[in-house]
Amino acid sequence: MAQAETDVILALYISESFVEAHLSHNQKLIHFNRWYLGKEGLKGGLQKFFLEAGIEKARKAFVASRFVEKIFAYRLGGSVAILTTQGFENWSGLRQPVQQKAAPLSSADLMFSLEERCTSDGHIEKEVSDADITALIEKLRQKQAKRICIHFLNAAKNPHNQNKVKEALVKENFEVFLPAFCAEDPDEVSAWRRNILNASVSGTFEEVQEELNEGLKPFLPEGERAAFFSSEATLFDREGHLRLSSLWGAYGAWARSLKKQNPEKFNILFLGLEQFCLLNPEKQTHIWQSPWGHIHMPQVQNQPLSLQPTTVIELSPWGELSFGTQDLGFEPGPMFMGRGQIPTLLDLWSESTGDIQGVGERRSPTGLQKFKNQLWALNKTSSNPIDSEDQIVSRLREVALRKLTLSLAMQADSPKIICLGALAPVFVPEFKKRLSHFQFELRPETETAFLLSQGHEHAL
Amino acid sequence: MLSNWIHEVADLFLSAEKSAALLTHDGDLLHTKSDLPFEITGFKNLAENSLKYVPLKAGDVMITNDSYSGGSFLHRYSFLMPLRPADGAHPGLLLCVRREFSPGLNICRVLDDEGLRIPPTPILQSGQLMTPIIEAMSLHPCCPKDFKSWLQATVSELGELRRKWLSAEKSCRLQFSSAEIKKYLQFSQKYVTEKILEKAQGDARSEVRLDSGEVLKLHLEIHDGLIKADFSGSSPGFKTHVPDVATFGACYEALSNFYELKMFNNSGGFSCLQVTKPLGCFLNAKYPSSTHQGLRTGVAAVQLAMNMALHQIVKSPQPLRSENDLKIEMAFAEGSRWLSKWSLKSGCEALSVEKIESRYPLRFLKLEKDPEKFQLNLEFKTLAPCQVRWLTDFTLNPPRAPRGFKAPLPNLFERLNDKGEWIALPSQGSTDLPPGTCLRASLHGAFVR
Repeated sequence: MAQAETDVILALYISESFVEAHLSHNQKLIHFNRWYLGKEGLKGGLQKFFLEAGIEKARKAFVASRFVEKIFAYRLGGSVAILTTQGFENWSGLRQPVQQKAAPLSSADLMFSLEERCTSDGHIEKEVSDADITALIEKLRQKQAKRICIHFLNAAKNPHNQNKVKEALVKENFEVFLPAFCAEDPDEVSAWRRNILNASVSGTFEEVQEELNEGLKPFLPEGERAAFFSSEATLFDREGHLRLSSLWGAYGAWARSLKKQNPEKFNILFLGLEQFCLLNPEKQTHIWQSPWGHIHMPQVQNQPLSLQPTTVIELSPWGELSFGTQDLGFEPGPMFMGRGQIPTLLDLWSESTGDIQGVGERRSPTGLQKFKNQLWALNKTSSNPIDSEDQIVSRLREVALRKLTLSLAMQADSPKIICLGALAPVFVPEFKKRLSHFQFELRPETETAFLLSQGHEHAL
Repeated sequence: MLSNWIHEVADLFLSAEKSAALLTHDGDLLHTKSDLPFEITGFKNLAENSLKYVPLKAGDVMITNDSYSGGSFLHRYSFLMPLRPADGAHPGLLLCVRREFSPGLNICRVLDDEGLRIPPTPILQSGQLMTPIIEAMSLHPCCPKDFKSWLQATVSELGELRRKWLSAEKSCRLQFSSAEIKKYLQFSQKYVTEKILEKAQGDARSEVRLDSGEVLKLHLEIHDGLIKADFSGSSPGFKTHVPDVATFGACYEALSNFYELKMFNNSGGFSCLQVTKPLGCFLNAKYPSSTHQGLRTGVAAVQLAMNMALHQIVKSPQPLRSENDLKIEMAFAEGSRWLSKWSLKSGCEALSVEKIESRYPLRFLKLEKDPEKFQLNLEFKTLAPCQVRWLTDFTLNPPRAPRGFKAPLPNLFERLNDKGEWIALPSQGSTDLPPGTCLRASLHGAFVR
């Protein structure tokens, strides 16, 4: 297919385990594909995608990504060192919510402090000494720290000490991360947490960016790189302080794009392969309740539904077959895809996934049988066993649908709900039946189409 | 449908609230939660005491903060609202939400000196705000600033919550029959009983002496999955007075943590606990005794006694916590007040050094935590004249640790004198401080094995 190079735009939605790619020409779909990252990498997948589309050149590439979330599952910190005002070395850790029991954001070995102090009115009460900075650099080298977060108290009021240390560290080739303070939420630890997370995800983010840009190199104009959506639907590339906000980049882009097409109030129901959530494009939320405590992060109001596609099926404390709280994700994924060992919600709807790219072709009869066997075994140990296999599945489906509709009915604040996502065609007909006082609109476009329309705006 | 459907519904419905309950008009608690877990059992008394005098229709709202009517601290206001009336086989449903406004450290002799005490009072009836009543409350000398607007906003939020419930009721089955509720509560009771039976049965005694002179004596029996806490022999209240429902709540909180029963915070779960308190003892306080100190250190004493007795009967890898906190309130000349928000149990989540330093003439010097020893140390300095009030306990008579445990050091509040020495202050008190005074708070929270 020969298209004018300047008019072709690529949108990518990179989630934890899947990539969705969408090429458009003058805002019209040329080609769409979704692939599983466990099978096909980002670079290889992109090259294959362009080949299938028969497109040689694109003008721009826009990316919404959630892969940062994957990094959270692992211990964060890596080579990130934290530098604080003396006496406050453990302050971020101390503020971590006791109930969440998340691992600390930073390693105890990589906590350093300097004798310095700025007061709340911006007066430098104690200036950091050159000798202390020299000694610090030595310690950082010994610990092989590469990225340094500087967290001095009241630095937003007067960054003199912070800047002095930063300059010295940058000179020694350390990568320095400074917290972005905001007047709306003057809580220092909120800014510090965000800074540590940006620094922690930095290495992996850059690796993914490099792989992505390497894959796109033959197709984009010389020097052009993929632009990522931030939570406020702005674009970024190398800006380290926006990396974390990429988690909500898709929400911002969908909300803006759909708001233009719909003057009345509505909610967006996203039923993706990896996530079910409800967005309110009219409202912004400023706080992210992260596992490490609250973080100031403006984003479109979004609430996960009470069940997710890969929520585990297990015996509840009541002894009945039900859904647990753990969301397994796609590594290894639902049992019907062959690798999973634990039954999940999506296994109950495996026969409806045949047409879903990236999933349909990976369905495994052995996996499906394993799922049925496991469900049967769980059923036998439950307090109220059911006699037939089919009935177990239909009962669990009923439980899932009840939970999801309850979640929707309680969370939606508009009668109109626009539905997106690969699993929307599977679930929305059921929701329509059960929630008759809501008006569901199942959009034929993929969610990447709305990224494209936002991308077009930026490209103009 | 699932036996725990009631739990699922209530849990989702109350997800945004810190302290709330869903209960029936008959007084069955279907689901409760609170950031101060000793409060969870009080919702039943609150509804019973309130509805006895004030009949409410669906959508009406009633307020109270009376600790003798099932409430908690005076700065925690309970709002009761019927969601739907009884209908044939379906008992009516009530929502109770508890919210905090302008907290302080108010230690007085009688409850009415602690602050504005509101007995159960309707504030919204047939969609109309009871403006004269709200006006009268806001004119009370103890009424906190901006209370009226906060109250109006809260009533409007409750209306929104009810709207959400009614919207969900249209499509999801939220009308629970009496039979379903009975089954759900029986199931919860059975589960809790089984959980208790899984571990050792037996009995134990523990004793806690409070600095204010009260002695708490507990005889705990665990037999056949039923737990009996008998406080016979406990002394009358001198300064520490714990209302009846808070004593029960503190006992249940200890059990709930120990046996991991959080999902069963309902009437079924609560029925596995029996608490006996002699009349006139400090755990059975009567109006008009002040309850603020009782709800802080008295509740901590009950939880500590329960924890010590439970660890004697059941070998558990769980840490044995002292439950004791150190609360500090600083009042400055210009009228601002800062109340410390740290505890070993809940951590320092809400404490922002920069926010505090920019709002109050205070400077933090050091903040440290030793997670293994459950120890928290904070040093700070006053930058303007102020009055400091503080409260902790168990410093004069450290609790006798169960076998195999070593009691933690007592909490300490210290002041740096002119010679540069740290001088320990008594466990509670109030004093004026000049600018430049350095203070140190050390919290020790766990018994070491």
